[in-house]
Amino acid sequence: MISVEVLCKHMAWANQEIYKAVQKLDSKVLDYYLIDPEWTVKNIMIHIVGASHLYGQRLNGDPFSKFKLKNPDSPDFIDELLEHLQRIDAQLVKNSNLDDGEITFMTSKGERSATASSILSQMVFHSAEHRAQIVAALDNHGVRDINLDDYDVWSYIDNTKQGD
Amino acid sequence: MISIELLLKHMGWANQEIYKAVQKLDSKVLDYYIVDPEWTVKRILIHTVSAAHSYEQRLAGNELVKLELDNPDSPEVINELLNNLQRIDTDSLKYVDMEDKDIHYILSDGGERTSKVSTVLSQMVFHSAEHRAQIVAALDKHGVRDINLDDFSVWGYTIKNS
Repeated sequence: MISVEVLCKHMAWANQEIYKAVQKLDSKVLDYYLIDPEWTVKNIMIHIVGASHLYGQRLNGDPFSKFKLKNPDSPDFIDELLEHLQRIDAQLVKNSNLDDGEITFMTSKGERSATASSILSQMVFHSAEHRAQIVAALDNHGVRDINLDDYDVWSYIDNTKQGD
Repeated sequence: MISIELLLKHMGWANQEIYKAVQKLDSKVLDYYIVDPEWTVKRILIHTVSAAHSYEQRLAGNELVKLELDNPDSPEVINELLNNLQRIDTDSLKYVDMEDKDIHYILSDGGERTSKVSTVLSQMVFHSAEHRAQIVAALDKHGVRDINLDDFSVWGYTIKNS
């Protein structure tokens, strides 16, 4: 059976690489957005990690706790996000070896359940989609430093020498 | 071990849903782009399918044959793309239960490469997700907010198909 492991490992790598690439840019890019001023680059970056935090909790069977940053208004918040991503994504890779089955968890709206495969799949998909939106917001302001082609699965394999 | 199957099924569903949603819009949206005029909505729609076609050929062990479209310059192209996606995305599910072996293939530039089945399937899933997001971003930029990506998440797929 072909597992989601490569996609989980790729997600972890691409999250780190793209967040670090944004960190190298002028901090004013954090306020850029495509069309909806609520969805700035900064808010999308926080949203990806906040969602992954919740998905990870569900997979790990941890009690519900809201994602909080110590310094959300400082440019250093990216360092904090990178540390959270490192923690969450490493656990996710381990969870790719779980047996699939129904998981019951608490949400802000009460008790819910989902299969491990649907939570893992949503986590991978969600971060890929939002990374593309981050780069679209940068592109829209003429900041073309990040080329998404450099962060695809081929690049992950080539850059991490995964023996493809 | 968690299988890639759900992500492949989600990809097949989301591709169909988003291509059909674009098809319902005014055909002028096909010329919209974010910042690079080369990458219009139409070009991304075609590119996503063309790449998926080549990935599936590699998995099938077929010689590389470029995807040819009958009406690439017409809005009718979306019907053709939908038919091709249906074929490719359905075929991709055949490989889910395969051993994760090496496959050798020729690239479009004539070079050779060897990849694991898991790498090709993973790239297929990732590539289409990324480009669907870009299609919607290009529409959003022009104030066309008809497609909400949240409706096409994995949660959206599981709710609609449960």
